[in-house]
Amino acid sequence: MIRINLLPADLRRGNRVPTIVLAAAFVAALAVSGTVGWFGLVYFGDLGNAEEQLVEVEAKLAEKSKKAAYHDQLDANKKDYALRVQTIQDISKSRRVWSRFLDELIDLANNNGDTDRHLAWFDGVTMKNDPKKGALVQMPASVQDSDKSRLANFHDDIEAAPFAKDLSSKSDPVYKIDKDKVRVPESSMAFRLELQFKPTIVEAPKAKPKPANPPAAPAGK
Amino acid sequence: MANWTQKKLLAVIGGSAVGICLLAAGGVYYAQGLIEEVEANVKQKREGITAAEAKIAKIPALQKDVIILRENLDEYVRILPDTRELTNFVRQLNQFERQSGINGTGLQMKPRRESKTAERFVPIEYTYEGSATIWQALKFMNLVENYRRFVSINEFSITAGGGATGGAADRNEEVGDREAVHQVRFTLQTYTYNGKVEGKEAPIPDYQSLKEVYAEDIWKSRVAIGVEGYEHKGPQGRRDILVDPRERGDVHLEGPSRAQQRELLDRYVTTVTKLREMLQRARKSDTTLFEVYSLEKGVREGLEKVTGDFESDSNRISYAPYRLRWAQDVAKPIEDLRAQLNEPVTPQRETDMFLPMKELQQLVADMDADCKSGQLEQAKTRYEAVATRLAVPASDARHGLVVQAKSWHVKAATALDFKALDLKIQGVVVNRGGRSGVLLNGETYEEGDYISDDLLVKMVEEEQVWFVFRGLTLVRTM
Repeated sequence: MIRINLLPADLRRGNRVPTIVLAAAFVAALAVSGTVGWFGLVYFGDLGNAEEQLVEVEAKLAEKSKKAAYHDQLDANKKDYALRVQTIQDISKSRRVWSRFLDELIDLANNNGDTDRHLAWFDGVTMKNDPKKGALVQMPASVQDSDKSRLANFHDDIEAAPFAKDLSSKSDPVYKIDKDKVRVPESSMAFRLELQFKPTIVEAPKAKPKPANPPAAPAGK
Repeated sequence: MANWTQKKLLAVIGGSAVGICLLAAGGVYYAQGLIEEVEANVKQKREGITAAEAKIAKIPALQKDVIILRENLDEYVRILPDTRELTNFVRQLNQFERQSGINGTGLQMKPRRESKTAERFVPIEYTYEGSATIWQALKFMNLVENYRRFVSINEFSITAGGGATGGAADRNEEVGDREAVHQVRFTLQTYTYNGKVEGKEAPIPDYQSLKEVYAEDIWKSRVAIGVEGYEHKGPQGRRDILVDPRERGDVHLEGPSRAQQRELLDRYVTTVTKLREMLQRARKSDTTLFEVYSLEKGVREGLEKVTGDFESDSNRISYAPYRLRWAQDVAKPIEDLRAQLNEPVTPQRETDMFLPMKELQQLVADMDADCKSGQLEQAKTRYEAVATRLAVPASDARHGLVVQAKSWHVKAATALDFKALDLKIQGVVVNRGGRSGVLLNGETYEEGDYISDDLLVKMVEEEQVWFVFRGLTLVRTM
């Protein structure tokens, strides 16, 4: 038997979309729209926000960087000026006021007119400065009479003089008797007085080189 | 066939959906990666901002430091001359020569040290030679060292001149040790300054007003770097240490011997010491005015006596060490004594405006005696003469004496006022068993009656009447 379906094609039972397909399509559409939506949210939402924040931060940084650059310029200026000031201070500190020293030396030799303690005089005064070792003052000196205690007194007074605190060393009390028949008293103790001053600029100690790695200990047997 | 198509359809739908979902998930993963990258970038930039903000916060302090340094650097470099200043420095040396009296014979410039790099401060050395007395040389050195431009004496030598043997200068009558001329040689070091700034100088907005704000700090910093100076005190009677001070046996020196000179010196020193002690006593706070007067008079007379022969005796001291003692222990103290005597009132006296203890004790004793001997007016006058100097605070040891003096003054004043009252006692009635009475100015009063607000009849006796006047018991005799 031949059956002929006279219904239009779209109303025929066999041509309708099956429910399972419709359901699958619906689920697929739901999954696709969900994931695409998620992507959209992440890409246009979070990433957009982050990029917007970045732009904002970059603008702020650019603004701050100008002032920071000004700071750097000021800092460089400060360092430059400070270096010069330091140089001037070093130069200033390196100076010793020699007129003060000579005044003190004259006071020392004059000893307030007390000739019983000692009566000293010099043939000359020479000072040579060495920035590293300090100044060296050399004086051919004499102390009246042959009484050794006067020479000792003179050396004691040098050690007690105001300039003594700046001395790193001084010559020891030695002498040679000189006789001048023209003078009264004719004897005097002649000696060479040397005063070594401390250097005015103290250099910072150089950093010691790091010790080489110790040799490996022999393996125990 | 239809079933196959349906399966195919389902596969296509499923496959497409899975594919799209995978793509979207991949996109999300990629976007997350981008987000992380952007966030890391943001974090980095934020750190940059924090660092920049930290720097910005330091700007005011930095500006302050730079302003102080910049302002002071201008001042500091004035200490060190630039090339142009060197010519002025040489001119200045000429002026120092004139001021000190040194006789300069040469000024040589030491060859400059060559340097490949441009140094900020280039040292320049001059060698100066001449002849001078020790005092001239010292004065010259001092002027150089106190010069407003930085100059240091790097080397010097002073060679004793005048001696035939080349040793210490001889002292003779014609050329005293103050005039002994020595050979001097100084190496003077100064600097030229290369003022070029490294890099660009940062412009500081509102610089002038900030400079004014930090004026005090600028000044403090400037003071800290000041070049050390020293004021040479001059000869002050000291001998030249480059001259042999011993006497010459071959030269006959006129005038007193050394022993006589010493005796003369000691005599003056003793007199001057005595005068100084007298003046010190006169200046003590507990010395009475009478003592001050007599002590100052004594010092004046003593000074007149001493200064009479001072000039001639001064010339008799020729031995150098004694001359120093003469200058220090005689001449200067005499000068000081004169100056102190001419001072109207010492500051100590001015600060203690109250009567000294000794005078106060005297005042109390005198008032006591006056009151007891009936010299009330005298006691009152004594007190009032010094009343302005009696406001001694309670913490002062003299306060008790002041209270006593005040008490005597009140008694004397009250007694005087009582004395001045018009009280005519016309008769008395003495009642042994009860209250006695007095006929006073025509009115009768019994013991215990008030005559006025501050006057009471205390006791009536045959020969005298006792009154209480302003709290003080006083007696009026018939």
